[in-house]
Amino acid sequence: MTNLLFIWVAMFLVWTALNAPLSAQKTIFGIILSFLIAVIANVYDKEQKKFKLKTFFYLIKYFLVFLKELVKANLNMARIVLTPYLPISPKIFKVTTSLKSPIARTLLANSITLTPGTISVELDGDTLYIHVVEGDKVENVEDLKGPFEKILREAFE
Amino acid sequence: MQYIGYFFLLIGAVFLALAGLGIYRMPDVLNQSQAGTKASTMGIVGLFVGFAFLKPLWAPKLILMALFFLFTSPIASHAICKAAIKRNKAKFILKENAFSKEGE
Repeated sequence: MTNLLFIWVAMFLVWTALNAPLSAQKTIFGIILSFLIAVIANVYDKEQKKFKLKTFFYLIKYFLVFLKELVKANLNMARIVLTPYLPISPKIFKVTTSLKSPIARTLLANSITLTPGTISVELDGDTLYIHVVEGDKVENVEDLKGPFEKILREAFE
Repeated sequence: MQYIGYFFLLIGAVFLALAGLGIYRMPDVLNQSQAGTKASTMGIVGLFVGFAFLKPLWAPKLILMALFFLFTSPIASHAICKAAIKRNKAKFILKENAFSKEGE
């Protein structure tokens, strides 16, 4: 039930964002539409996990850390591209993650792709294959996961 | 307000240009994908933030678009890299390849 309410409210917020100045007509249609979406999503959701407020706060924290890493990654990439002799030494590393839930693993792979000099090539069970541009600079393979694994573990487990 | 918007637009444009330059300069698919994904994400988000400052009414839509882009762009690059490395036709410049040792 809380899941349904949450999806309803979230979908209605998206609807509000897309139809910025709301009239009465749009509001009523949006409420009905987001309710239908919430019901359908609830029917197909097999796991029926409880939505926790803690997850939400950790996701906000995750997003802020993510933005910081994104800017760092771009400055790093700009430096590599603009250096005349192209200082690259590409390597593929294998890293295992201790995260269990599929969504946490997906988010981890995505955030690795957008952090400095790394890209996730393949995610197979709990094994991640990571491509690194400056492979010579990597000392500890576990560092490649950055601060994300800790935050995601607290958020989802 | 206006000048902050112009500033973000400039940042976005510069990073998109760097993404293009990166794709041109990098030697193989994996490295090109690195340059393309990162710099273009920052470029697009910068452009959207700039537009949001110039036209505050559009801000909610622009934020939604930026979020969708942030979620989808790593997935696209992941798919390209996986396809390239499984097909294994082109020559990759790799000093160390854990995937060919363990994968498949």
